[in-house]
Amino acid sequence: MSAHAHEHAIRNYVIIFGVLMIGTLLTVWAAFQDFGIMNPIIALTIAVIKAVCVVLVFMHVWDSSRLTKITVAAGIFWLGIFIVLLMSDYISRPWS
Amino acid sequence: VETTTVHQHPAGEQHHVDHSGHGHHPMQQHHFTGMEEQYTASSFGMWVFLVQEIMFFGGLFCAYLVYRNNYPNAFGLASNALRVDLGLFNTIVLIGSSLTMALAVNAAQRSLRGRLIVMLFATMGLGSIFLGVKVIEYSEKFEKREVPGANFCYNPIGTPCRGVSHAPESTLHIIKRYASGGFGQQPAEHGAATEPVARPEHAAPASGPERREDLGQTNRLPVANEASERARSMPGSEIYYSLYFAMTGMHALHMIVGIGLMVWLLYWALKGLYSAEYFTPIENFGLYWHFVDIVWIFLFPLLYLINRHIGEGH
Repeated sequence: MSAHAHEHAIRNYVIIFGVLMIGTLLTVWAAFQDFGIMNPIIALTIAVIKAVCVVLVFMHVWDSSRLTKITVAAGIFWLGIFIVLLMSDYISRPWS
Repeated sequence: VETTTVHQHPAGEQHHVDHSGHGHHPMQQHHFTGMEEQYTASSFGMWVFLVQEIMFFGGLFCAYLVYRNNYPNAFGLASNALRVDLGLFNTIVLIGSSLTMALAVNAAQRSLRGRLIVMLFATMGLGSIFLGVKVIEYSEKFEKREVPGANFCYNPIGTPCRGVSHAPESTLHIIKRYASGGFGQQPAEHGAATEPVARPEHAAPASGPERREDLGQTNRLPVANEASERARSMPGSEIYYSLYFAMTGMHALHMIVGIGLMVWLLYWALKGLYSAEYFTPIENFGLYWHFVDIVWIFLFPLLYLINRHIGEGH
């Protein structure tokens, strides 16, 4: 990468830092509001957006090889299998 | 030239013998065809490790999910007993450390040795601040009997737990008191039969001007009551605190490991090992540090911010 591209990367890092800060303050603000059942959903949605920002920009996945992108996607996919199968078991147990 | 050099030093580190005549970067290992391939392999390996870390923390998050569904009220109340100001402060500190880490990688990619060192120091400093705040939070939990175990007591709705001190104490003192079962014993009411258990701080003079005898006089109750107090705790609250300590403790352990690794990276950065041609350890460590940051991004709302709009007083 050229010096210009590196300076461009720094600008992106600072922007993402700002987004993460706003997201954090938004999470705290939202937690003190009564959104009913939406409260945990809003909190997790903001957390997922923040995590995606970190993964794509701080961890360079946006600019990475296809191998890296597939690896990251596979990890998230397996976590999804983990959660979906586990919860489909637990929420379908009327006796517990 | 290359083969003769190697044969002259059969036992030594052959790839370090003659850099100028060797035809590749000194940090390139011989089983790779070039620095590019070596970088790709290292990066892939790091990501596979991080996928394993996702599954590891995923197990803890799944346990959290199941028990939060089982005990939604206890989780909501116990969550309100955490200090949201310290949690928010730590979140900001950790995101700041992710920024300095990203800048460290950027500096390494550009062979900016001085900036790399400064950014690694900044990342270590912010990580240490985070852990220091965690010490304050944990000691408060010991003080308020909110650590799972024999002395656990969390009952925000019914009778308040005994022996919860509001006087400032040192962390070590609180942990010692907790370990020795020093909570809630009161000889004044129960006579000599329930002589207070010898506490470690009696062996040595108290450090502060305020000695702790007064606490011993007012807050002591029979040991036998502690089990029943624990049993009266809100159902599920001890599970919440078990998960709180398991998840934040595992996260903190990752940060301690990270700070240790940064000492090693700093050593080599000071020696000038990293440059635009070779910065893989900095880059891969950055991935690890950002991953730890992501775990906290989820831990903060899930542990600190449940039912904040309702509060603990209901």
